[in-house]
Amino acid sequence: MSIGTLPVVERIAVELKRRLDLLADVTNTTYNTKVNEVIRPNRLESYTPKDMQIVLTTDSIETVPELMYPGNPPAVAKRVTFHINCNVVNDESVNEPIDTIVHMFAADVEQVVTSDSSTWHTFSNLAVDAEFLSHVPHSAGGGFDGVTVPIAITYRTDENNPYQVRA
Amino acid sequence: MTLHDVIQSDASLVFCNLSDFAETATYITRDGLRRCIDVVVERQNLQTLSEYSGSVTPVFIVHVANTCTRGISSDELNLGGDSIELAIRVGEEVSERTIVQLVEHDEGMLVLECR
Repeated sequence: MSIGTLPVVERIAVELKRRLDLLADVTNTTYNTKVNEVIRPNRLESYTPKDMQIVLTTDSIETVPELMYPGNPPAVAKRVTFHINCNVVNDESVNEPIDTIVHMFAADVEQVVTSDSSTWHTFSNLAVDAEFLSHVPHSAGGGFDGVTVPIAITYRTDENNPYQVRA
Repeated sequence: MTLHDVIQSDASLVFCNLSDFAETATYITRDGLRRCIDVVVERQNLQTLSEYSGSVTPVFIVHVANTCTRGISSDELNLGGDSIELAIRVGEEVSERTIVQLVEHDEGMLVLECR
């Protein structure tokens, strides 16, 4: 399936993952955080938590009535929230505070997503706005730690065609 | 033989007996060293990884002898990246599952959660 046949929300997800993949690039010298992999889980969620791993998932998609406008067809506005889950499974013998690692991880995620240009929030002309939401730290009994960095992205499509971007 | 020795011996010979419920798995240290171990595995339902992760993963509760020969000794275990190769469903191909928690342990056994 070519990218042109994907709904707008999926094309935004693909663009978001492309940006996050830059942290996993072996030639990355721009960011402090070296990510091992960026994954979007499949239905059976067969991945395993790993050190310096990003798991990208979609949370809610809600309509935004105040940003819709009439026409034929009308333009509908929606806001999708992606969860960028940053997993840290660092060596028990490491003395560096886990908070330091997690803070740098989250900071580099925000930096890489916004690094394209002053129009980063359009996600290559697919969206009208984007904003990061409050970070949520997580922990699993000492096994792994990390933080979830949610990002809410607002976009418009034709009312009768979710594949068609509207300005 | 002390009670301590009996507990350690029973852990390997009785609880992790391959003729009963145990199966062979591969323990992989964070540094990549591999070793065959005998384990009893409870394969549980998929569970959420964390409240906000939006995803679920398989859960394995692994019982293994507290020894560095056919088990994992409690002093060598590193919850910072050690893993065990396990099949999600019995009979399927194995894949690496990270040890995320030491649920409990004593001189004889470790109980580990892998995801």
